[in-house]
Amino acid sequence: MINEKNLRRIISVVLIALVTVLFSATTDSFLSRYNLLLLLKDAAYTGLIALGVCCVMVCGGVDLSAGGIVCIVGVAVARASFIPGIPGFAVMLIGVAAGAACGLLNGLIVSKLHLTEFVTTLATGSVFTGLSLLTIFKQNGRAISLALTNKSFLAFGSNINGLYMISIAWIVLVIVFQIIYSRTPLGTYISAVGSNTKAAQMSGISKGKMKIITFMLSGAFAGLASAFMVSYQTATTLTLGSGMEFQAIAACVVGGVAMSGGKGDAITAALGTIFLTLITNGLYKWGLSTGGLNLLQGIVIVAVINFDTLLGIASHKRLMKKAELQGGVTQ
Amino acid sequence: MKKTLAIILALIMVIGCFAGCSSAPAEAPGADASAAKLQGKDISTEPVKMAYIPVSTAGATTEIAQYAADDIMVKYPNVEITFFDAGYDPTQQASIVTQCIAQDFDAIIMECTDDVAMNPLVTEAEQAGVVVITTNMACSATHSAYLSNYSYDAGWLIGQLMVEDIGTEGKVILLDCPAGMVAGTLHGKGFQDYIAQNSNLELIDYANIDGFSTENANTAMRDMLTKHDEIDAVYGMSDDIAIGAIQAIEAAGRGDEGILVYGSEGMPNAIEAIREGTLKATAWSDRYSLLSLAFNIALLHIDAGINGAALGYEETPSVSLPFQPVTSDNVESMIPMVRYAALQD
Repeated sequence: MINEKNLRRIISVVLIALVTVLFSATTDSFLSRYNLLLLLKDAAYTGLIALGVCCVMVCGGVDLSAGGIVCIVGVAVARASFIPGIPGFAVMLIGVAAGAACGLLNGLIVSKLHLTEFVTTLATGSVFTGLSLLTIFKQNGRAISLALTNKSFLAFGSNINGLYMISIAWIVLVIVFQIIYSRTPLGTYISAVGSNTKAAQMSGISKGKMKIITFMLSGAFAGLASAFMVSYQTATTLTLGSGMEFQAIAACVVGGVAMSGGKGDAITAALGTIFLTLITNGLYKWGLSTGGLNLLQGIVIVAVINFDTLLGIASHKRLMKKAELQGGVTQ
Repeated sequence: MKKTLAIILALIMVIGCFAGCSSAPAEAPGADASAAKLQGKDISTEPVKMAYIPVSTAGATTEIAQYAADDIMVKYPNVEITFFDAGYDPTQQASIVTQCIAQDFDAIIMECTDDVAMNPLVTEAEQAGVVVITTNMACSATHSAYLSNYSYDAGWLIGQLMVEDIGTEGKVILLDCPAGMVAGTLHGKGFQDYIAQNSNLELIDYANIDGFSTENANTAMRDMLTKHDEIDAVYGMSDDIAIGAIQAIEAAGRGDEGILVYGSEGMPNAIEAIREGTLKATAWSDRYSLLSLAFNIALLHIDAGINGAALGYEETPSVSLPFQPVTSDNVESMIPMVRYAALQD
């Protein structure tokens, strides 16, 4: 029996397959090894952030500060990489910890001050971006792009025969977090709070604690993505992460994560990320201008969201009919 | 059901891998690809693909870039030049460059959004056999050529003009490029260095203008006008910024105070403003000549089957074209040279 969740996943997979066939038939290099590895790398940047944003969304919230977290963590890891003798792995951990700290701030404001997540994360995103401007490398008062020299850190931005480290990290984390969502109490609690907060609280699940945990996870993922991006670029820039929160949210929504909460997991976020990355990659190969690219991406996102809405309505009608029939049988 | 789904997903990934492995080269960057690419092409008869990636295609200078590209494509009908918009974002520009490598572009002509962050991409492109030419904003990685109207010289020139106009004493304001671009955009630095070394002009205020936008410059200048009773001159490092400053000065009712405003780039709005007498001067960069030269140098490299990486350059060869001042004295004679269609009679 196909339930709604699996149906949605099948649809995502079919869409990915259709898009792959379309672009491979109409362009020369879509299925080349280089392009597939490039797709995986590009997907991993958004995908890592989407994994974190998905946690917040499934818990019934939204995180608009992910881009700002990427920016400030970029400065943090760039500075940390200059600590004498520091190994690259430690710099990456600093990035994750810094991101988690930013997420903790979001979680505390939302759970203790009871501000809405939309407003909170919009504001903190701005705070993080401003902080990065104040703390970035400067020379004679002017912000500069400083070339990073820590080889063991820069190794995280490299590739093994074309397969980038961030791609490997993303695939592993999707698997790990899918297990967490589907097989651990944490995953159950996150979905429960997002589905029905009152019922979850009556079951003894602390909404505040879940909010803090999910925001910290979101921040940690954004921090990890930032560390990988800086190691790849060999520098940090003030525009790092700009707009990525919206790409991540779009990826989650396109994959089937419900904006209202309660529905979604790592696979859902990953499928949405892959779909959007394929679309972008393929449209570039069609030679569309940036304006055309943005227009088509927007149309695709709206179409998929509309489809999700219709699917939800159809599913609800089916359930109501089933309930009516069962009620009729009982009578 | 879950097993079926997993199997379908796995199959798609396997098919993709096999398809990738067995497809004709556009391989990952490496010796094989660059060797295949760098055998040279007859640019008169064989298809040639070039990408032009400025920091943004939103500005008026895109019109001039298009003229240069169109003239090349008329001369060489088999050459295709595609414009991409980096949106001032290094991450986006990096993505575009890797797309161009994947699509076997022969040459990339670009303005680097960041002089360090673009290094790995430029190196990757060169190693893949792509001819990389940077214009105006370069990166430190070695590549085939760097052509510039050196932004530092524009600021220096405006500093010279300002000192000639107002003398060596006075209070001036600098409206600079977005904060994220100061590393590579040196108009402001050139200006500050000139006035520091050659005058006693006091820099009383400074702002970075997001997106080089007229509106943001207007807002920043409006705030500065409330802070400072005495301002002798303003340098907006781009003409759009300078126009924003002029708008703010006039809106504040201080248009009669004789505050001189200067810009850079020589865009249509600046030329008109000089004609009207609201803008004192701008530093014009001959974007058409710069890009024509860039496209032609790229074609020569493609024809000869060479690029910076293949030749083992230790430093990027560079060519610098000078800025020219445009003032009320010479604005009419500059109209045909700037080429903007809206200005031609």
